[in-house]
Amino acid sequence: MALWEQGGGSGFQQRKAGGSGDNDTGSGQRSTVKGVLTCTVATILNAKHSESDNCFVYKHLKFNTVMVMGLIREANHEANGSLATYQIDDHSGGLLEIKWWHDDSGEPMKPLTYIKVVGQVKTFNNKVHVVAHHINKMQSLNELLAHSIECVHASMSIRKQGELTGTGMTSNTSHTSGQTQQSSAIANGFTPVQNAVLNVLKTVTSMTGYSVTEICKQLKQFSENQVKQALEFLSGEGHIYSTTDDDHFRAASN
Amino acid sequence: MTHHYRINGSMIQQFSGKPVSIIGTVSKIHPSGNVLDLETSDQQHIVVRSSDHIVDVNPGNIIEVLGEVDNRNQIACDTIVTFEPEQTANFDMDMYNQAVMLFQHYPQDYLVNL
Repeated sequence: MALWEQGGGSGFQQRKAGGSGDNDTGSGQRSTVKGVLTCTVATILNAKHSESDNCFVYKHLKFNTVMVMGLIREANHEANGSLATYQIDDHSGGLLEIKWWHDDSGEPMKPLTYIKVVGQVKTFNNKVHVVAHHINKMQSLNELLAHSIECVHASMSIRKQGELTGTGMTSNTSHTSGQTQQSSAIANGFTPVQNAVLNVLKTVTSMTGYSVTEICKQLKQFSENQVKQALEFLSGEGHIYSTTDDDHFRAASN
Repeated sequence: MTHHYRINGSMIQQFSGKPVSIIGTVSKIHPSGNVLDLETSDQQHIVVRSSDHIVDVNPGNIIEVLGEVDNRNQIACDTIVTFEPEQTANFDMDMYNQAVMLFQHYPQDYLVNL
């Protein structure tokens, strides 16, 4: 499966050794942040590498693999070599260096053309660059437009997830053209509503637990319907149980 | 390369003196060869003055202009990006116009170097 086709989120955390295709040559350490983040050049240039998370971090965004689109300002092709280096500009500020190890097929890309790059962020001498897995010439200006909008969407999606679950969750929206991207990640196997309801019930001190109305009062961001559906799911799975009547619940792990 | 704000015609005044990027349709090229008239994504017309002689651009072409807004609400442009016909065929200029406003409304998500 190509790197950018992996879904984001916890479903893909378990990988078989050697099957990662991550280009982590020799490090032996597998990155925990999977998926491809669609983002601006400024995001990458401002990111810092986090040893503990083994990924790059900027504000609420955590990533190793990125998708960017920008205008080639400088192109350097190694004579008799397979390395091409591009400096790309997406007007967000700064130039991003792209290293592209290519075979001899395809014509070299020229300055003042837009390209789309999917690749891994690396640092060298305190400067970031991207090692490209794929480079394509922009097919249509609509592609650039969609990409820019996706940058906003990805960031907003991740920011909202972080606010809802209150955890430092690293989930990236994956992007494949023609496919709807997965924009709501799952934490601990639960959706944000289910997680929130479960967390409320875990704070119960009485034997009666909380009624549906009380839970809704504590979770104003969700509708009563959403809370009821979450309760149905959680009790079906055995994480919560009803007490005095069908309207009152407690968490099973209390 | 500093951050260039993506703008449309109605935003020109508020970005006076700032670096901008505008995508629009060429409506006219002045005989001097250094100045062109651009129709923006919100159907306004702006004047673009280029430092170099403008080449490879014809009326009806969609181009991207990178430059600064001067005190006459014209663009002093240093780079004109042209596209192949296949790249601009079916370009959704209305969607682009909406996107331009989207980037303004969500500075915490459209991340740039200010």
